[in-house]
Amino acid sequence: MQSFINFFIEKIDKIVFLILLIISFSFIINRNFFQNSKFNFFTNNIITSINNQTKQINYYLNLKTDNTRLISENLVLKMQLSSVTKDSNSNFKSGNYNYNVADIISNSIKYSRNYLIINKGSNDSVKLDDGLVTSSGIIGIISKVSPKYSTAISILNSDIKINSKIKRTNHFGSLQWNGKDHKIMTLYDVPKSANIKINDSVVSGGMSFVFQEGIPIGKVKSIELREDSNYYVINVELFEDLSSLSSVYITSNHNKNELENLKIDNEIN
Amino acid sequence: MRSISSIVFFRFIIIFLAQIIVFNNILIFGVSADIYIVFLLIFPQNINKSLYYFLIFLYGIFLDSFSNSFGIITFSLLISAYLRPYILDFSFGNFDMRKVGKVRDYLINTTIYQKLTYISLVIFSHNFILYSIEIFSIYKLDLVFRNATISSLVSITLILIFMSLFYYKNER
Repeated sequence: MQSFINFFIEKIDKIVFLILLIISFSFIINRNFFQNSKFNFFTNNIITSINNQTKQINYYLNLKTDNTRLISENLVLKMQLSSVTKDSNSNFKSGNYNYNVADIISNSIKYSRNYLIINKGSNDSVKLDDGLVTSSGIIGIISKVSPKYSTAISILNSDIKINSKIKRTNHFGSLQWNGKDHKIMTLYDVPKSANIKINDSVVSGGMSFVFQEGIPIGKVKSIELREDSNYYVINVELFEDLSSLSSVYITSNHNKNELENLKIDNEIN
Repeated sequence: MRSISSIVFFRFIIIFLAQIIVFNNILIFGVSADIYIVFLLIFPQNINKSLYYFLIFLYGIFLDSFSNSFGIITFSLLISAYLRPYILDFSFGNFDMRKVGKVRDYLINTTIYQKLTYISLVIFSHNFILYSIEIFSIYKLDLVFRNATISSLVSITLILIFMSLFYYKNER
């Protein structure tokens, strides 16, 4: 017994090291420890208080880019308005979606699996799997919701794929990030028969319940066709610069539950 | 006389705030500028080992919660902390550990090559572990090397500038 205790005292440093290493590894394995533990409340309060201070400065620095963004968004909206008055039927699809505004509290682009935190939560009726968009692109999908805040998976996360299509030809594929450049994403599974050209625009496809169909994402930058493959590998340059975002829109689909039940029913039968 | 714990606490706060407020928002060549590892580089030598690991762990947790990285910084900082005494020995081999307690003495009274060896070994090992844990795929090994190299080179440059500001020989 004595020798056991002696061993313990002798090696205490290494034991402490190993325990801490295992704890930190368990954080990595379940990547959502913020939301599950009490720790979340503590850190989120610090995060918001510190970030609110720095945000005040950032707001002034970003005023110019925000203004140009708003002007271009206004222009698009005005053009849409004029088309609505001519043909009022064109708007019926967006009736399924609610829009809400949120500020980004923290965002990262430096890893290959990036997440962002926004300042709206279940109190503002944010739900799991809601989408985050801006006027010029898709930003992410809500993955965890707490009363005041929510965590979203950024599209710059190599774990998720986004259903999207080439606007001109309507061929769809899945968009994924390869982890290198935060302005380039890769579109897979577009068949060889599609006649795709450089600078074709890529928009969100209608096959997910998360995003409305037709949200602009980016434009085709380069096309690659491997010899033994029937599918293109297309590099898409994003319209939105994810490194300088300050606010986003949250979209939620009213009929998602209904659609999802339908899908489950189809899978069972 | 300032106590050693107050110095460590002071560094903890200052370097941590500098990283999350300023350097997390700066991108150089597409990678963010990391200076948080300075805390590990200049951590006092003759402090209790368990306390040393625990402080590094706490520091990593704080950084992780602010940069949405879910424990990967903590994990790789801990491993670098474990490797650091060996790297110190390797790069400043001609120093007697018991005589020179402070890392400050290492960093002032040595040649630039020794300093560079020490800083770059710690940072390369840290970044390599960080990105291999984060990407965690053998098929993307090129991405691991690319990210680790660019990010290390940027950090080494920044940290050398930082160190030349605070650790210089007073020749007056």
